[in-house]
Amino acid sequence: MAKVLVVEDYASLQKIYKTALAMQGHVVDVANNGDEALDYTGKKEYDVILLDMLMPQTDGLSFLKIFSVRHRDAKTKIIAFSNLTTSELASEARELGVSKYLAKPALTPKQVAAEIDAVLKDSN
Amino acid sequence: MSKILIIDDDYTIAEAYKIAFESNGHEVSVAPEGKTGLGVANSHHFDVILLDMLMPYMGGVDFLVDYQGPVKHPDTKIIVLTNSLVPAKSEEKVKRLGASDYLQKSSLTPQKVVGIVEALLK
Amino acid sequence: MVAPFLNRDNPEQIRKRLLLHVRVRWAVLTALIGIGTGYQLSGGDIEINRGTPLDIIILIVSVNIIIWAAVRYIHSASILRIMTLLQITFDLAVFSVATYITDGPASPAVILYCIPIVISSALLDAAAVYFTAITSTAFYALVLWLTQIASGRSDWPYTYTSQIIFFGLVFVIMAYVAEFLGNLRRNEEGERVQLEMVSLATHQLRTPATAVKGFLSLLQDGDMGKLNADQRDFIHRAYEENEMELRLIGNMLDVAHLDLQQLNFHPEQVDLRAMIVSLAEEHKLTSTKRKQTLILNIPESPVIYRCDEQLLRMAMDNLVSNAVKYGTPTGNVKIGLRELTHKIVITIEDNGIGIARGDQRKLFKRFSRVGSDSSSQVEGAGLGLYLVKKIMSIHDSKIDVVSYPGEGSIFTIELPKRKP
Repeated sequence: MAKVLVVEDYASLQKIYKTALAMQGHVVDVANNGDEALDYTGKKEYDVILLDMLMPQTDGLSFLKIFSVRHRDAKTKIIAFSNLTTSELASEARELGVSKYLAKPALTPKQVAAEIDAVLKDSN
Repeated sequence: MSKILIIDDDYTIAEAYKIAFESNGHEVSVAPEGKTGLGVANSHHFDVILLDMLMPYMGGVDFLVDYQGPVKHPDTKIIVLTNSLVPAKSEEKVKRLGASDYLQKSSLTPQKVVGIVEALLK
Repeated sequence: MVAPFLNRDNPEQIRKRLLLHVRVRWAVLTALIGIGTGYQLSGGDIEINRGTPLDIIILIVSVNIIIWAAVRYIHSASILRIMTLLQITFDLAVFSVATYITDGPASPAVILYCIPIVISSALLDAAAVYFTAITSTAFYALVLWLTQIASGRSDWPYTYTSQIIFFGLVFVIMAYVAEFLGNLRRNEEGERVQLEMVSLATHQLRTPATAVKGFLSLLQDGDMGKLNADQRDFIHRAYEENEMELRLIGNMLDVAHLDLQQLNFHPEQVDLRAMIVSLAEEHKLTSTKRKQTLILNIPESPVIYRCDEQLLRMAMDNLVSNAVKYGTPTGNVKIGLRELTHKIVITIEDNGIGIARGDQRKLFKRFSRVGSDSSSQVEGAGLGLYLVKKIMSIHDSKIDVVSYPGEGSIFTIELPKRKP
């Protein structure tokens, strides 16, 4: 069981990931955008953050930039995912500490959950 | 001893056939694709032409259509080699176009092909 | 022939135009020598007031060789861009010297030399056209000053008015060409905006389709309660339909990106052998699943070629996945790479269902899918080959297909080797 923060602006996808992760026994919080996510991460330490890269206002990259400065020592693993799988965005995200970059349309929620488990296993 | 022309874009396969035929005392020429093969086949006489079906620019069927052998070299035999897994479809067509035989590449070793060619020439 | 629009960031394109222009200059030189010799042989006498005809010839030859050598070995777009301006400056210098030596804009040397100047500016860039028009006026004024005022000559055969008309006309023509090129650029901008819209729209289509996929997959796995066989079947079908839609959206995005990328072409030195090896690695999973054998016919040493790696990879990826998709299960998929003197040939061969002759022509068009009885089981070629064709034309390369129904297909990519 892990503490997971899902950062996603699209309501249906929030519901999907929340359901899939809860079924795996994880505790899930949902943030609508980067700003909200920064609020959450300020209050609580998460094991995994599932981060959508394309969001209105504070997007994934801006969140990563601020998060990497504010929580430099945190053990939180970050998995970024996006509709847009350009190599530039992916490599920029990796430089900012993202452990995995997933292509949203290619994966089912179960596969995303499996990716989270894999990342957690790696860190232990 | 017979004169053989191998027309195949797959270098390894062409080489394997060449070695097999040469070790049986035949004289072998190789053309890497259909167009080159067509030029050679039209201007020189061969006893047997081994023709691959799928090659860049000009495939086996197009070769047979443009080949002037039936007029210039009526005794030249053409054997078509295929990778096809459903050979029945093309066999009739290439035979209508003048091929004597239609062989499945993967099920034959080069030695067996030599045997078939020698039997055909007798 | 080259398209009128010049992409300022594409060094290959600039280089091509500069080289074309070098050739035009050779042609002008030949014409000049031809006319001169012809005139002399027919008993005429070439009137040269200062210097000899040889001076003009030597001047043109040396300028041409300098430009040709520089263009051949430069790869940077910015230096090549400067070269385009430099070459017009050279041309204007030749033009002025020719006017000065022959004493007038009506001599064949001067008139013929106008041709490369106009062609060069028209082929290069709207900014270059304005540059040419303005500097040529200045040069001409200088020549006038040298011939008439400085040397105090009064036997100049042209009236002041006729010279002004001559120059006015040259300027008007050049301004017109500049305007024309400017319009082309604006159209291109419009196209870019449109493409970005398409790209945005497809992104937005993708999000709900991804959500549908998520909900369906949760239902399908029985996580929301047990399903009976019919329910499971229907959900499975809905899931597959949605997958198809996602793939289609992906292809549309690729096309839009490609059209954008075409304006933004980045060639670099790429090892094609390594590219093919890694592509084969990627497709191994699917082909093994279909019990196919992937065969590589590639040289043992790297094959280096200057191309846009991302684009070429995209094209090859499309062809290989088609070969795997349309190739018969238990069949072979062969990828060949061969380096010849003037070109590199890549072949992708399968022994699958093949394509009928009539369908081969339609193959590379947008949204075409070849209808054959057995291909109905395989969905969504659609935009793939259109993409491939487009990528090939960006690389000045050819794609060719030979295919017979029941025999399979062989796609051949022919990459021309450029000068180093």
